[in-house]
Amino acid sequence: MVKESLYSARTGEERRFVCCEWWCEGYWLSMGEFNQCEGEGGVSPRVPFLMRLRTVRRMASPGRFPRNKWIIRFWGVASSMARQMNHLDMESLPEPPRAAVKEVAGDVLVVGGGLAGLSAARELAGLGFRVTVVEGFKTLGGRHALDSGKLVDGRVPAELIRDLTGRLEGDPNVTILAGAAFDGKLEDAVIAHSLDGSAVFKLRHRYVVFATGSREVPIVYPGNAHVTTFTGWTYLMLLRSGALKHRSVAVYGSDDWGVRVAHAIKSAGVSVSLLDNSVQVRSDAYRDLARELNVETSVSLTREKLVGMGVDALVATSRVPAIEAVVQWGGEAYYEHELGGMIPRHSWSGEVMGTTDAYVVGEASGLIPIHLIPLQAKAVAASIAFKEGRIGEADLDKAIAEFRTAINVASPKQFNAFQRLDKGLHEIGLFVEPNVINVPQWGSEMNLEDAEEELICPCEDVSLGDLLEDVKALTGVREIKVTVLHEETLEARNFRPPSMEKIKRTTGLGTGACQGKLCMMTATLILARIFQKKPREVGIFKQRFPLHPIPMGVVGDASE
Amino acid sequence: MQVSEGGRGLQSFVGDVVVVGGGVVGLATAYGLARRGLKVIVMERGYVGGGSSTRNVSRFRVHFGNAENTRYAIESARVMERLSGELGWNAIFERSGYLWLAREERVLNQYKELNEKVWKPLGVPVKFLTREELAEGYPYIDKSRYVGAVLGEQDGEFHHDYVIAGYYTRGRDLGVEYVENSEVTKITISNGKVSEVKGRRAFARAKSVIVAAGAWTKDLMLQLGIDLPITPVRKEIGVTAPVRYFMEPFIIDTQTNAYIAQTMRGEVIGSIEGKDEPGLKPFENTLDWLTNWARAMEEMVPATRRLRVMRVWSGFYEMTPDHSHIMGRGKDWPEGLYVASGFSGHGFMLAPLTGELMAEYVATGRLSDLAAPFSPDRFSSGNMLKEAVVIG
Repeated sequence: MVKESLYSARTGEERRFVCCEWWCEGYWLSMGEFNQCEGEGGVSPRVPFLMRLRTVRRMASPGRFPRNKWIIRFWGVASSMARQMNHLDMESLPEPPRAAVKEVAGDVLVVGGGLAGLSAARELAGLGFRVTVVEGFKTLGGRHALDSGKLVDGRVPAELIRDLTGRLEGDPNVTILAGAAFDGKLEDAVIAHSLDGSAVFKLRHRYVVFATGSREVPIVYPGNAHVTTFTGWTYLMLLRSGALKHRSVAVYGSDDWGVRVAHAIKSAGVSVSLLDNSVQVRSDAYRDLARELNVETSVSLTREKLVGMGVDALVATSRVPAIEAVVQWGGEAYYEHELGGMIPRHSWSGEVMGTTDAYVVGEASGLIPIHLIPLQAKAVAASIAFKEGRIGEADLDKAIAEFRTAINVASPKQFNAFQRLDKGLHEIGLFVEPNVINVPQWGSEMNLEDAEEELICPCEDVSLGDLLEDVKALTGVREIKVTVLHEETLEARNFRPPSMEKIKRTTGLGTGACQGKLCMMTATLILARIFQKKPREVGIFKQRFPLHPIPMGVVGDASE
Repeated sequence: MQVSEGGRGLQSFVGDVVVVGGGVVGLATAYGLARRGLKVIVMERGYVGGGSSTRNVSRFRVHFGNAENTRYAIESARVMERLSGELGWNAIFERSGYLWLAREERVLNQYKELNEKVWKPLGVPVKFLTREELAEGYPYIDKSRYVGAVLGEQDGEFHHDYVIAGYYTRGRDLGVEYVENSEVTKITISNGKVSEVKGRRAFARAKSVIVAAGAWTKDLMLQLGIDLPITPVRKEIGVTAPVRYFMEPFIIDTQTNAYIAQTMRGEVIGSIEGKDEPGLKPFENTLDWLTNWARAMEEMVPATRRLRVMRVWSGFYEMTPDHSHIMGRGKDWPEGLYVASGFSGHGFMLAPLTGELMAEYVATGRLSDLAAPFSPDRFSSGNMLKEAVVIG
């Protein structure tokens, strides 16, 4: 049974974001819930009396709490209140079973068992490599396993997944670890663990291919915490199981995936409005599908607007590439607006710059057209095979050329973006980020008036207003406002916002159990947009092991 | 201003004091100096607070193995207690206690001896808990393993990020200049006096230079021909996802040297002392340490098996032979050169007092009695600090 309402452990306020994906566990834990989507349990909402008062909530907000004079003066009283956060009792977390330690060795480790990971695994296995695939869900296929509409080339993602799964499951060169989270790299080991706690996997491979896909994140706008919001994957999954009885929903995010989700929901008999802050529908490939929907672009989203539209829920389909794993491995993330969000800098062959053994494929490398992912996977597999001397240069060139040509035909803008990532500016190797940042998931772009009502980090209750308060405190700036100027003023140009690492430490943004998966990219891009800086200047905070929380008991069992 | 050859192309400053290192010791010292009206420039190799200062467990104690350190720590905790009001950032100061768990009577007896010899005379007696009292007061601890415990009620916690932000912003308001991403490459001595400091991004001229560069101090001082016995040792640490608040004190198993504590927000933070090799190793982690910590934690509090580890990271202890810090200046050092480093894992808790005493020393030349035992000359003159009772 899905719980549409969770409650902030700090303020007791309702949070209506619904995410049933395996990596959302940290979000659930932060809200005092063990699993939002399965079984009973969790804490009952408990609002500390004083937190009912708006002024107290405001004082206790992450942007003000550390510097509030009254809290400092009456710290004796306030500190006991601060210790009453409504998390789960330690005893009510499940006792993990004795974990078995399993050594898994092979040539190539593929992180992610969606369309990209499975395609890469199949190509690699076909070239004679021993491949291990780690996938968080118990079933393979990821988001595209739920996508039954035709792609531009007539193929159907769900069928592609079925076909790939069938071929891989019988392949003696392929080991599939489903229902397992990849935890990342340590000095002496690379680790994954099964989500039921029964096993710790010590992974020994010579190459790693990151096929971690992209992640649908909450949309940021005034009042967003109080609007029932599903991720696209969650919505499609619940729709399929018959758990939802909505008449009308709004889908926010109009790129290829967003349009396809909106269309799938409409096909199920639900009235759909497709919204985005972009000037026109972002998807080039599925413009025809979008014509069948009520489309509203250039929206400035508010809760009131959604209430006025009479929708039962918002479906968030705006995505950020899931790059934590590749960054933790040593890849460097840059902002690339044509490919959507921050992605690891990599070559056409998928090789992650700054590493010698890591590759990236699929949406973690940029939100490329879905039908091109198998071709990209082929290029990545060919690149590893060439390094290992299994194929000649001509075969490698052919695989890469095929992908390049296909992407140039499908999206010249994205072709250029890949070219910039690979060759740098003017082919001198230096990559320069654009100055003007587009934040697809910021529904009220550049409107700072209700910043305090725009929740960015649900785990730690950090709103855009809190971030701005913190920036003011750390820089000594009195006021942050957005004005449209024809010329950049010197003051604005010289202004250096604090790095995300400092903002994280002083506001708590991204320090909740979801480890920043819901908020980090959004926060970096929004601040970069407000201050007109390159996202790399604001930065993302250090990605730490483990990438998914592991029960201590399971860790303890992982000794030799 | 005039810039010498060495400063060409760099941001230039002229001031009274250059502080090398923007960790808590450097920031507290800069703040203390700025309050005395001096013009201070802080040069930091990374970002302010980015070294060991915000990688620690955020706890302080007043109970040390000898009178000199204990006295120093008592005074430092007093300074920290009033920091919130002074800096405008809540230090989240709380005397939530340290609880040392003993598996053998022998350990308890050593603590008793220390209590009589050092702690009681200085007014910070500890409490001794029997197995039954331990079980009653701290039901989550596995009492079958421990014969008793030592409770230091005067010890406690703070919030390292807020304290750093407080020193930083208040210092800035008082005119301190901070230069981040500017590793110091050279301290120039002319005519037996310090004159210039050159960093990657900035250049500063001042009469006094305070080296508070933590784990990086030794190499910098060696350039000046001064060999301080400071050895960096990487330590790993981790934190779990939050659970409802249940554990007040900082708990140490005196046999395994594992420790855990719960933060205000409910996360459990801790580590275990391991076979840490010396050297400026990269800030990474090992599975070896993580599994050891997890098992030791389960031994202390069995239910922690259910907790989920959320993040691990590492930082440096900068160890000295007597596990005590080095502050002040050597007799035959170039004029104007000072050091505050080698805190051996106690840097944050001792920084608030260190900042005040260093500022006083540099500004007025008066060296407090509290600071005198920690002179850099003690290693050559044979006045190393001695543990009153050796624990363990």
